[in-house]
Amino acid sequence: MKIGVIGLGSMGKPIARNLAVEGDTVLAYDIDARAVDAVASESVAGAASAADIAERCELVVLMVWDDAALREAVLGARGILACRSFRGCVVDLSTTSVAVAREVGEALAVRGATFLDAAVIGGGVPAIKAGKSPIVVSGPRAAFDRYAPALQRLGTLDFVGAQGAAKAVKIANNLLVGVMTAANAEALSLGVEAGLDLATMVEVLRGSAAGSTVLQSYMGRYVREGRYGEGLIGHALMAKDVSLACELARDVAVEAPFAEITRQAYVAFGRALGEEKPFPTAFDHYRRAAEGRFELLDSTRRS
Amino acid sequence: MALSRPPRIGLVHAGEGGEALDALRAVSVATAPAGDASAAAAVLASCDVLVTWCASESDADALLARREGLLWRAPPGLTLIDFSPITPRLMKAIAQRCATEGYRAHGAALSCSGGASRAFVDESVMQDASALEAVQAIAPDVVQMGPAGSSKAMSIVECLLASVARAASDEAIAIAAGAGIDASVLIPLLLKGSGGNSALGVQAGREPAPDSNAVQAGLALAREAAREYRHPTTFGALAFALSCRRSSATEASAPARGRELAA
Repeated sequence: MKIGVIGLGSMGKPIARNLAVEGDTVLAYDIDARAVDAVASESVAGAASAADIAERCELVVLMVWDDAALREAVLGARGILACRSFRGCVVDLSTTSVAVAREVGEALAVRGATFLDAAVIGGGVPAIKAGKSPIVVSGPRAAFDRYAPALQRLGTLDFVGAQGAAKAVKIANNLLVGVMTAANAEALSLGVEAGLDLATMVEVLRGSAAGSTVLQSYMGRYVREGRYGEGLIGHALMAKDVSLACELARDVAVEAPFAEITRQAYVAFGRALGEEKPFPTAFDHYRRAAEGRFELLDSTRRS
Repeated sequence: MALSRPPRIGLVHAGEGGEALDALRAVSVATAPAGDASAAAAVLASCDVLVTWCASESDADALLARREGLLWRAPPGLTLIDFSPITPRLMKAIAQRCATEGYRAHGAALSCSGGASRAFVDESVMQDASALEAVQAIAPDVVQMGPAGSSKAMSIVECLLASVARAASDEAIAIAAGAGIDASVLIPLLLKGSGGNSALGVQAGREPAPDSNAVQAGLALAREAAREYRHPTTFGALAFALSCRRSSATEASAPARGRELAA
């Protein structure tokens, strides 16, 4: 089978490499030609456009930046649907909205193609490199069954229901990642200010009612190695991810104060530290703010 | 100084305390409310180690840090362990006051996790055999922290994060439910994902629920500590506000501390 991969960022590159096994070949495309060159190998070839990929592949996997990039890759002038003969399956692993997933799914269905919306919900770059990512998938069940053997090269799959369901799971997951990372930053920084040792706090909180995967992953690594992790997204992208939760909450009429304040917090972190800085550097931000080096979203601090 | 027998633990308390107070009562040979002077005196006379628990900063201040407080009636050489949900600053003041009066005072706090089986203690507990033995009788998992007040600080950090995890998880579940994902499907997936946290584990029945009274009190203290240290608070403040709103909605069962601060 020929498999296309569109979007060759830190997640897309290992996805392309991991899909290119067991006799399957991969065609890869990115709007940045250098990313295509970087991933090219015996079993991964470059493509000229998303339409070029659709022309030659039965299965197309997307890992793009946002809703606009997803629309462009599928509906754009040189997108997948520019190829009139495409009747294959598109799997979108990007962090995109439920609404756009449904819109793209409908557009593909009208043309006789199928769409699975999907998402990687844990492990980040190291897990996708190792082919061990937890992945949720939703859409037509028959398409899932047909392409699951190929997608299992990326990790473990959970089918979660009708179109849009996987994106909703991803949005809920990323909301919690964003909230808990920033809340850890705030609470641990407060503890440091009160004289507690950071490593002791992280160890004590692990496995307690205050425990979380992000505490263990990012702060645990920071304590051990002085860095938060590998291939982590920046504050701007985290703000974008959390804004998807804000949008979905509005769409379904659910009050979401944590989503809103977390989005604002990552915008503030990005402004202060740099939008591309890994999002767990929220801790650095709280430390600097505590030291009076700059202000933060702040409801109680006395000036 | 070690005793040749297990220390007799006496308890003097003020206010309601949920699981924490229940755990302290369970190991005490005598208990008395702080407001009953003669009963408190009887407790003092019958114990080797006095444990105190007050629901509020003002009660703890009145009981332990002021001249008219309990310590003026205490026998010389008393060992005191305070488990109250109070600020690190007040615990430091109590320890200093006790030292000048000739008593050993240690700060401690029961973890809000796992049915009060874990206690955070100030490091001074580890150098006082009878105090350590008493704490171990209350909670078998003893976690040594740092100087006076650090056990209270650790408890505050734990409660703040436990509360945020709960409220944020509720919000994430509600949003996904609005999009048609049932919580029974969502929670196991989130626990596999990077958004996993203990609050989800509680909802899935995999972990015991934290002590809601302790969490509420800890959140209020986090706010006070943030003011004291001039530390930014965003997520703690939001969790506190939501917690107060929940308490107001269920006024009859609202923890006293939450009602007091919400007001």
